[in-house]
Amino acid sequence: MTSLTQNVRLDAWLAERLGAGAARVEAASQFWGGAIQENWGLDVVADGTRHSLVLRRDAPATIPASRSRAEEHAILEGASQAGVRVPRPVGFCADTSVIGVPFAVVERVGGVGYGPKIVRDDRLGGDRASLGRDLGRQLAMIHAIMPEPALAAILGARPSDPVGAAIGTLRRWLDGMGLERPGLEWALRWAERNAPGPDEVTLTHQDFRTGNLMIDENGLTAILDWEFAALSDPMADLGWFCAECWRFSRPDLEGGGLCRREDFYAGYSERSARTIDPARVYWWEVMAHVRWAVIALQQGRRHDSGAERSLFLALTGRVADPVELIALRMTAPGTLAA
Amino acid sequence: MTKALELLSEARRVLQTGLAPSLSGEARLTARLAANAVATAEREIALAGRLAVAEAALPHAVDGIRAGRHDGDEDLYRRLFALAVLRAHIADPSAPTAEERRLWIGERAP
Repeated sequence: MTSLTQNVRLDAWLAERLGAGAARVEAASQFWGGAIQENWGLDVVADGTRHSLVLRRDAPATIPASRSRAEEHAILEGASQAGVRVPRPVGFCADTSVIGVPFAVVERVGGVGYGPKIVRDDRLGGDRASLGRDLGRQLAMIHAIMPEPALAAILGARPSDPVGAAIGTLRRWLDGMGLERPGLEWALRWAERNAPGPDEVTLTHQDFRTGNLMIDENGLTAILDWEFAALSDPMADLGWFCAECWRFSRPDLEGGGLCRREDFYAGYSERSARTIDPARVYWWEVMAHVRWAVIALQQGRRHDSGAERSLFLALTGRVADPVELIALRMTAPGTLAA
Repeated sequence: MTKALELLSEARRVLQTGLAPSLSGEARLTARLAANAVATAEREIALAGRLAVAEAALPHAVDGIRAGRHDGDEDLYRRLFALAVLRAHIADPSAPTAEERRLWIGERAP
C-alpha cells in the first residue's frame, strides 16, 4: 500500500483542498474495524494550522451494494449542504497516482462510534430521550433532502417498488453466494406475503444505526457511512435503526439500544409530517435482520474465498446465525406485520 | 492423548486469560477475536451431531419455501427454528433465550 506519510502527492492534494500553500501529513493511523472501507486518521499541518482528518478508501474486497467512494462523497456533500450533521467533506480524489486508489477525505469529528460502548456507557449521549429525538429529527432531515441534478444522477431512477426490490435483491445475493439458508428464505417469503403497498420514495441512508453514529458526552456529533444511501421507502431507515440486532446490550431500548422508540419517533415527527406506520416499520425490521444476516454472510465469504483472509471477516460471517434467529422469531406462522 | 475439544479449550484459556490481558490495542483485540473463534469451534464440535441431525431435517427446503409451498407450515418452521437456535448458540451462547436453550439445546449445552 502507498504510504500516507511522506507522500508528496497526497500532501499537495491536501494543500489544495485546504486552501493552503503547503500541507504535510505528520501521522496516519488506521481505525480498527471498517470491514468494507478502510478509514485512516490523518494528522495534517497546513500552513502552520493543524487539521484532524479522516481518509477513506476501499478495502481489498467490497460487497455488491457499496457505492464507490466518489458517489459516497457526493452524497455526503449533499447531506452536509442540507444541514444534516455529518463530518465536513474536504474532498474526493479520483487520481490513483496519489495513494494507489481513489479516496475521500473528511474532517474528523469527536465522539465514540463503537456501538456496543455507546449503548452501555451512560456518560455518552447526554439525556437519552433528547438524543432519541435528535436522531429522529436528523433522519427526517435526510428523508427531506431534494437531490440536485448531479446527486440525482448518482442516485438513479426512483424505484417504483422498493419493497419488492428489497426482497429480490436479498434473494439474488443469497443465490449469488450459492448458499442455502432456509431460515432466511422463510423470513423473505413472510416478507413477500406481508409486503406493504407502494408509498413514498425518498433519499434514505440505508445504514442509519448505532455503530454509524458518532456520539460524545453531549449527544450526536455526526452521522457516518453513507456508502449504501439510496432512494427507497423512508420507513426502511426507521426499521433498520430500531431493529433488535443493532441494540447490543440494551434490547429493551428499541431506538438502537440508545433510546425509547417513542422518543425517536417523536423527534422524527417534529421534522416530518409523514405518518409512521408501525406495521410498515415492523416489516422493515424483519427485512433489516435478513439484510444484515446476508451481508454478514457476504463478509464471511470474503474470507472463505481468499479475497481477504481475516479472522474478523470469518467471525462476522457467523453473526448471520443469531440474526437469523431473530428474523424467525418475528415471522412465526400466523404473525402479521400489523 | 489430549482430545480435540480439550486442546481447543486450553488454547482458548491461554488466549483469554494468558495472552489478551498482557496485550494492548489492536493486538489485544486480535487475541480476543482468536479466543472467540476457538470458543465457537469448541461449541460447534461439541454439538456436531445435533447440528447434523437438524440440517438433515431440512433437505433442499429453499426452493419450496420460495415458491410458497410451505406457507404456514408449522412443522417446517419448528425444524427451521431448531436449527437456528443451535447455530445461534454456537455463534453466541447469549443469543437464544433461556427458554429456547431449554427447548432446543438442553440444559448442558457447551
